[in-house]
Amino acid sequence: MKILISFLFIANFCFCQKTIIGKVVNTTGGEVPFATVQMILKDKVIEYTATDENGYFEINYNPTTSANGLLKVTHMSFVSKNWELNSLDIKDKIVLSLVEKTETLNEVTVQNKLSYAKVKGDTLSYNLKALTTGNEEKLVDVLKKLPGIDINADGKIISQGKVINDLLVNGKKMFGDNHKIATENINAEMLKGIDLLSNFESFAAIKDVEGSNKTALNINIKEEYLGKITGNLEVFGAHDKRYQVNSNLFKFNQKLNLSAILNVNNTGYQPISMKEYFSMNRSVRQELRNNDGQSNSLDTNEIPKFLLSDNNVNSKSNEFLALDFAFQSSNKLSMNGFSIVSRLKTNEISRTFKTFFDSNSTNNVVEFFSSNNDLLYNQTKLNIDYKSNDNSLVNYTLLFDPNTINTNTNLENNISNNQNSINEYFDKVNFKFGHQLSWINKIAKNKLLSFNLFQ
Amino acid sequence: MKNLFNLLSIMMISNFTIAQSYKIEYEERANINNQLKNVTDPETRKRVSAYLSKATTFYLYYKNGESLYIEEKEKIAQNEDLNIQNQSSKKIEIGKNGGGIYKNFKTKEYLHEADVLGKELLVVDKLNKIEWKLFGEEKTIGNYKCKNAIATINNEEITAWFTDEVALQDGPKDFYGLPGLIMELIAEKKTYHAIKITETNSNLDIKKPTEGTKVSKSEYLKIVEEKINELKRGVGNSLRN
Repeated sequence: MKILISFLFIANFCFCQKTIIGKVVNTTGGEVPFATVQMILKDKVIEYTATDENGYFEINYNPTTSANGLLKVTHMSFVSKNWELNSLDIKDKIVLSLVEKTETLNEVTVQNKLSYAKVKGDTLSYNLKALTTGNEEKLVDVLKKLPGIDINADGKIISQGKVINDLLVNGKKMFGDNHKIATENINAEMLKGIDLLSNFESFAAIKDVEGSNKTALNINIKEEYLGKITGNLEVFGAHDKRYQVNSNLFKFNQKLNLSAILNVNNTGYQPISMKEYFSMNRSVRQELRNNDGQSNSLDTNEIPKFLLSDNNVNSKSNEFLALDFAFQSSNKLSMNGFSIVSRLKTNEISRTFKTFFDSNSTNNVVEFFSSNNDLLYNQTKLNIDYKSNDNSLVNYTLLFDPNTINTNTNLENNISNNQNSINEYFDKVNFKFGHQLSWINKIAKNKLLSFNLFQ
Repeated sequence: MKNLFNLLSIMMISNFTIAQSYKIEYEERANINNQLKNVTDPETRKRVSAYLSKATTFYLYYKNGESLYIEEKEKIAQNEDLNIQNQSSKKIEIGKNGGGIYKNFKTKEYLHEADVLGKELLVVDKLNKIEWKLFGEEKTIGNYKCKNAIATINNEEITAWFTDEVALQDGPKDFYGLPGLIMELIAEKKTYHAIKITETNSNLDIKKPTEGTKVSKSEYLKIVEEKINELKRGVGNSLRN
């Protein structure tokens, strides 16, 4: 009777709203408290409620619009179930019965913690998910967002105020000190994680005895990019014979990393800046394992002048190709090497008009200067490490830097109608070759024996 | 006969309610994007966001219509370790002097042991229905299909993502009452993310918070505001001196 009255009331007040009263029970008829009851229409939740302590619920519904709706009942300990409203006798109190779940949830990790980084021993692993937005294009964009990591003006990676010693991809070295080549070419979407390794030394015996103050940054590549050739090719063209072609191709494997980077342009963009050129001019002695640091000085006479010139030239074109490989056959043998070929051609023109005023006459000087410069530069480095056991390491490094500089300068001047023409050709072929062989052996707990041979 | 049946069913329920306790780990962090929307200098942004982004871990314990949302504490962690070794006999007692938020969906009780600058308060309130507006939008968090809902609480717009695959009408902090567990919640100043859901078979015992001076929710909000203003004035004074 009571229910009937309330029904009448509701029907009188509002013709559209009705209430379903029901009870959720388990297979033996016992009540199920705190079950969620949802009214779903076309995948949308219209109404929802929960059962009370005794398993009862009330839910509003609209008989005209929700006639084809579903009642979905969920509970942590039961298998969720749907009922079509049509199939239920909703005029009366309905009883919905659920079946117990046989499996328990145990423990589910929904998502990884969004903390910025994890520290484990000497390794700091950045959580890229928390630090990046997904709009980054290249590795360099990601690195700029990592706390504690910076990129300096030369494109080098800085950690704690110092340039990092090694850039590793999946634990293997890449492009030596030429970070920029790697950071501006590896695509951000390929990254799985970035680890900063402090006190890094690949040969444990040295670390035990001498310690290490080296830092390395290890880039982990997503598995789906492993074993495949990945990369991009970009071609740009602009009016009046401007072009730029960028291509980077990588193949990362468990044992072998291969990279090829190509850049051809005449837009003035330099894949290798002057500072990088200097830093590549290093001697093989710096490769010595336990060398107490000897900085190499660069003879300023060796610097080709036009490298110092800015972009204000008539034409400038760059051709750049870099190849890198790293191979790790087993724990014992590892090889890595890279070769960078860069060709820079510039053409400079200047025209000067000078007038000298004398007491009785004026002299005009017209100067026309043009210079064609051509630098072909290569750096090839090969490094082989062989660890016969945990205490001994044989290391061989070969460095070969040939370069040719070719300049053709033409100066024409006209002083008071006297024509002078000076033509200067300058050809220079340089090459620097160095190699070193070292053998390091740990002879006692705190003693290292090392032989170095270098040329 | 009917009585016996009732008794039986109660026994049955109480039998499986022992297994029916859950622990949900949430990460609470400042809503950086929102708080820094007026800061344009990239350097300042970077520094402040690094400071703000430190996450705090909270646990939501749920058992049989009662829940407690409490900050991760050493003590609890230790108790849990003990519990693994001695699962059947060790009881976890949480909520005592823990400073958590207690929700009882049976009695509609809400208790919050709050510490406002050294002043211990016990906020007593009712679990009022939050007027969530459900939207059909979907996204997956982990392996869960989530739907979004928006509510306005104290003039603050709250966006929640819940999943009905976890049928607990609960969520982090003061938020509850959706047809499924709140997996992600974005408030004006904070964001909450569910990290881990654990079904514990242990005998979880949720204790009502009892410590502190009893105040109502509106009184509590007033006290907090007053204290903040006091602090602001304090800072102003010290700057003036």
